[in-house]
Amino acid sequence: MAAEPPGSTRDDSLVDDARGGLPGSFETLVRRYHAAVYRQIMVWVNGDHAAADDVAQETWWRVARGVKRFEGRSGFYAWACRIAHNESKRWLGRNARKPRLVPKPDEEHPGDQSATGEAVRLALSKLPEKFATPLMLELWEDMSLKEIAHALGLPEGTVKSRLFRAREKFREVWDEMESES
Amino acid sequence: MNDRIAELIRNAKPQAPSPDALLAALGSRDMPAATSGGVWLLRAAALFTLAAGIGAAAALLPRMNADTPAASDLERVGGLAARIESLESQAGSVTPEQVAEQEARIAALETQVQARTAIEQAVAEYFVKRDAAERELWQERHLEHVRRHYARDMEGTLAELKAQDLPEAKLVRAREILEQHGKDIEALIKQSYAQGGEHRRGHRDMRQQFASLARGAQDSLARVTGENNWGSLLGESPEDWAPTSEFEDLSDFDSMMNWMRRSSRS
Repeated sequence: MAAEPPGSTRDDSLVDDARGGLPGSFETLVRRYHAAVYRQIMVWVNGDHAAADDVAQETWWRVARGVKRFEGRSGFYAWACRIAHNESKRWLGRNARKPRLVPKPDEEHPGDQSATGEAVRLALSKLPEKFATPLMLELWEDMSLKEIAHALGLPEGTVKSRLFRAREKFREVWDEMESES
Repeated sequence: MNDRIAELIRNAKPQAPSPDALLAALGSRDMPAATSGGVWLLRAAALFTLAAGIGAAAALLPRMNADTPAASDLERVGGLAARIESLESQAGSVTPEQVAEQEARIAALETQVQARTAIEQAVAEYFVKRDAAERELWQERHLEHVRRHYARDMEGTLAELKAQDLPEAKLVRAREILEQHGKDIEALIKQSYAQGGEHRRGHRDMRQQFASLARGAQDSLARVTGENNWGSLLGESPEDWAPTSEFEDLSDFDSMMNWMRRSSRS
């Protein structure tokens, strides 16, 4: 994550600059949000780093193409995440008929290989996006309520409510998975 | 949140690569309209061709703002995106009727999305107002509790001092000190509630502030009465000023937990 925290008030002016073609502004947005967007994509593509690389590239290409028309009705990050989610679904759709291979040990990302980690990401992928996103921002990106609200363009009360429901839903999914195993 | 669940999720945080390779792939360090690589060139060529015939449809798609609320709408938008991509790949054979059909569908969806966005905004505002009203109510009930119990203890202490034949002037001064202490406690509690939902920060020195108030009042009382043992009346910790019986009402459970959690941070 870049030095500037996600969801900071500088997003709006950066997006304006990117719309106007100011050099470096879009790169700053990418650097600020790439890690957070990537981690969300990882959840949606079942932890496949190669797929996440492809989807992230497609996502940012679409964001780049659409930023001039971005109207700011939501936060920039929320908009990018929505595109990433759609791109992930498209990727899953395209690859649905391919046999699921057992992932090879990933030497570049050894920390991502634990069975529990995979199970947690699987559980997160089962949550609706509007609940999973704030939960991941809170626990993976260490964002405060205010920062999440700004990044997603939502009132703090809404974020608070979604976080509460996300925790409940995660617990339900997790308990269900534990009872099945 | 259940600490175990939070810890589980935290430990499952995937690693993310540096964005350098991504930026290189996007082909620009500035505004990224231009991209590099064979795929992107092909795409740009397709888009250019498309612009002659179906530019409007391609231009409308990105306006589907990411804050659209309904999953079904999003799936339909995703379907439209796939359809437009399909049209992009066969732009030469696209008919004006196909373009008009896509434009009409997108326009209809945009109307629906705008209506949904307005409704969601209204609902969100309602929850914010409701939270603020609840917080105000909890604060008022908390303060009522503190006032009631503090007044009872204060009058008992003053009656005891009077029974010990403390001169009238000293009794008046002792009452002033105790009344001011009660007001200071209320102000500190109000300050805590005023900071509302920001539970990650602030109030780290709540315990020190309560202790400092208590010490100040105790010193003043000791100077007036010549007694030093005021600890039983002047609570030094936030817990001493937390409602108890009132919060047995389940509706105030969140308020109690918030208060105990934030005030017990040191």
